[in-house]
Amino acid sequence: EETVVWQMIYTFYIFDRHGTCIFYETWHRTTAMSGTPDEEARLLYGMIWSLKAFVKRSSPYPDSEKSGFHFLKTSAYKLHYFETSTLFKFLISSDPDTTDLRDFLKAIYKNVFVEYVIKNPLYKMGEQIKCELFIENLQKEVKALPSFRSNLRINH
Amino acid sequence: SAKQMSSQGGAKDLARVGETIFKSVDRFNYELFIMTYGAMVAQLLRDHEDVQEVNTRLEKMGHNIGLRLIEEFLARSNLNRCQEFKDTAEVIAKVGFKMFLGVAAGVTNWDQKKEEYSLILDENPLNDFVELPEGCQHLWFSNILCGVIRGCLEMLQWRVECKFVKDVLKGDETSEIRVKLIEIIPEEIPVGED
Repeated sequence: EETVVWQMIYTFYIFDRHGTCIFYETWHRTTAMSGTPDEEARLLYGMIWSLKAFVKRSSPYPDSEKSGFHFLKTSAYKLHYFETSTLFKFLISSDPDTTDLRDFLKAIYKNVFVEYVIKNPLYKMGEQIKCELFIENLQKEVKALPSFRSNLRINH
Repeated sequence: SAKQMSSQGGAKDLARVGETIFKSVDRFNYELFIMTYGAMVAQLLRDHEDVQEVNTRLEKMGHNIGLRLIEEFLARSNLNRCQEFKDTAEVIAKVGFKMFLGVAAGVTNWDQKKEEYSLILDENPLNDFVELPEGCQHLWFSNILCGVIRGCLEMLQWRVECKFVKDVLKGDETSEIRVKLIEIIPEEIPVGED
C-alpha cells in the first residue's frame, strides 16, 4: 500500500531586531489569514519571542550558545527558525515532514539577504524589502528546494 | 591558559581565520580605495572649518558602514556573537581588521574589569600617501574606523565608545584606538510580552 505525502513550503518571514516584519512571502497557502498581514506578523513574532525565552529558561545549559529554539513542529506544519547574531530573524514554514531547513535559512541570510539587501545602499534599514534582486534570488532558491512541492511515495 | 582563551578560539586561530578570508575575497584596486578615502577627508576639511566637526562626520559615516558591514563579517567569517565583551578584542583585531583592511591589529592596555581595551595599528593602510597639513593637528584622519567598530558592535548588542588616542600621522609611534564598553543593549521586548 502506498501513501502520497506532499512536501511543501508555505511561508517565509524576515523580522529585524525591532520586531518589524521586513519581508513576507507565501506559496501554496491553503487557509486564509486570520487577521491582517500586520497582525499575523505581530502574533508570530510574539510567539517566537515567548518560545525563545521558554526554551532558554528550561534548558539544562541556558548560557550555551548551542541551546536555542530551532524549529517547532505540529501535525499540520513545521516552522524553521534562524536568528543571526545581529538579531535578524528568518522563518520558513513547511509541511511537517520536510527535513531541517535551518541551513537553508543560513544560506539565504549569507547569499541573498546580505548580498542584495544589506549591501544595497538604497535599502533603508527597517523598511519593507522591495529589492528586486533579493526577491528574484529568494524565489529561485526556495523553488529549487526539493521540498518546495513534491510528493513522496511511501510504501508500507 | 584555558581561561584566557575566548569562546571563539585563541588569537592564533583567529589570525588564521582572518588570513583565510582575506585571501579568499576578490582583490580590487587598493590605491583607488586609499585615495578615495583621502579625497573624501580632504573634501570634508574644505566643507567644514572646525576640524572637530570633520572628526564627528567621519565617525558617523563609519557608524553607518559598521551597521551593515557586520553582516558581511558574520556571513564570511561564520563566527557567532562573542559571549563576553573581552572576547571581541581579538576578533576585531585579528579577523575584522585583517579581512577589511588587510592588516591585523594588536590588543593591549586592558582595564581591570576587562571592559576597555586598545587596538594597536602598527600599519594603517588608510595612512599611505598621507601627511597632515598645518592646522589639522586635531584631526583623527582614520576616525571612520572608530565609527565602523562602534556600528558593528552596536548590532551585536554592545554599546561602546571608540576613539583614537594615538596616531602615527601626529608623530606617535603607533596608532591606537581605545574601545570602551558602555552597556549591553538588551533585546527589544515586543509589545504585549512584558
